[in-house]
Amino acid sequence: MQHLDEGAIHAWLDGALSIEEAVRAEAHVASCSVCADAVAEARGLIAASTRILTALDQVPNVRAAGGAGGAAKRRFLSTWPVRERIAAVMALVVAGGALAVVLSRETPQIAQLDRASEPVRTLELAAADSPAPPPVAAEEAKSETAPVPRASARAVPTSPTGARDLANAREVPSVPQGAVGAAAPATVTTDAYAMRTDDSLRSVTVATAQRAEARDLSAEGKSPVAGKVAAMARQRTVEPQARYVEPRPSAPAVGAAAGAAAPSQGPRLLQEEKMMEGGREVRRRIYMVEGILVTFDERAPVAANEAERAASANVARADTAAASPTIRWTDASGTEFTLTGPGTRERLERIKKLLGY
Amino acid sequence: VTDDVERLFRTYNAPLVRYLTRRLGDRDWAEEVAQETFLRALRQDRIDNERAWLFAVATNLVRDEARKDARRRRHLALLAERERAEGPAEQEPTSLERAQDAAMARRAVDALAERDRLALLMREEGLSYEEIAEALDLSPGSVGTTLSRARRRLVEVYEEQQRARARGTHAAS
Repeated sequence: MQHLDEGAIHAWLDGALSIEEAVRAEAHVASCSVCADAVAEARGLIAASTRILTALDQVPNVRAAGGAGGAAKRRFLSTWPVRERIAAVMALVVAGGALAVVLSRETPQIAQLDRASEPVRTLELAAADSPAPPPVAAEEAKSETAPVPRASARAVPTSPTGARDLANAREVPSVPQGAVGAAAPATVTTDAYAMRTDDSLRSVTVATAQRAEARDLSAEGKSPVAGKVAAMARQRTVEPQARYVEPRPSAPAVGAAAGAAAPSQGPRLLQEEKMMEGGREVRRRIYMVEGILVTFDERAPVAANEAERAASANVARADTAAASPTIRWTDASGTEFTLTGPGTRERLERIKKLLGY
Repeated sequence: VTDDVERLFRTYNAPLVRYLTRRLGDRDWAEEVAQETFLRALRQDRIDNERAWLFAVATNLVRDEARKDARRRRHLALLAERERAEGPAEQEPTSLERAQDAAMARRAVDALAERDRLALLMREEGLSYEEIAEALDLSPGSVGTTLSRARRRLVEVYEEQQRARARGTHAAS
């Protein structure tokens, strides 16, 4: 037998040869020192490649709002935007309503940062998608000098998020192809918290298209989409409850009683997670209300100075003029709530009440 | 496919995002592309080989978006620059050495031909030779050769940089 070529050796080591070919290769290597050396070298190359590529997972990932505990924050946040998108698609298809609502409880300081990112993103998307950005977006972008979380995400190399992530997902490649479905890694890492608003908007756009598709399919009497997605959405109402640790007194009742099958009117908790952000604990919950997705953030209050408060109020007025109506209110403790969605303000007010505020 | 989207997401999001992050050097961008890929899967009536399909679609999205995004990314870079100048950034624990490793790895990956690079990154995410061939429109028989070439070149470029760094360190001390 002639010597194995390098491609065949890699294929063999990668388990890509048929059994017969693998047996032949093995037999040859056992009796051929040249090929044995080549195999040893190939093993080294494979291992070194994996090691080198692992270093790529440490991409710069920093935001100005950060503080201690960045890695933990990222791990937590990672699952969020993607899930939100998927959940938004599901929710919107089920509801047939193109309203994604973001309800967040924000302290002024964070609110400023968070909202400040919106106009710039708006401009950026507008610039990418059309030659003429809306005047409002341009105006806002000009007036904003606040940090843009997404843009800043590449300033400094990160901690071992990538490595941990890698450890997580290494399971996948090593599992034989057929079994991959069973060995899904639980979560993925991101820190795209600040992209939330933008993601929601984009989700709505996509979801609207999805919904139209679903409707078309339904009209033709072959709609696999709506029913299955509805089932997924219902399923989600059950799963995350295990993680619902400390119910907030004023929050709506959550649980089996809220109903899983019918499009219930009561807010249902789909997901809850906790994270640290800027050294403060943030609790994020997603509710389904009247078939609408509601995101509810609760941040432990911190003292905010008046300048920030004023700036935050200005930003609030500015982004109310953006695509999605927004209602805001502040409770006695100074905690700020935000409810945003492409629906009417009246609807947002009603949702606010449904959420117990 | 629709009832599988959640399973698809759970199964493939991590490897897909990592693949894209390694390809793009940008986690946020990678997340976006991965999300778009799953949303496209949702619209798809039928997918024969899901993993190959997902990686192929993500790869094509990157190709398309890379052109479209050049302008937008310049804008972002500008904003990031401004922010760095203005505010205190979060200092994460990182060593110079690790940052150098990452930079060397990036240069080594960049030194590969695009097809070799994609094949290698897909293989690292566990795609089979058949899946790689399907996603990249290669013949299955050529995947081994493609991978061996990619790995050799990657390691060579990386080690060359290591030697250069060692010489630099030596010269400095």
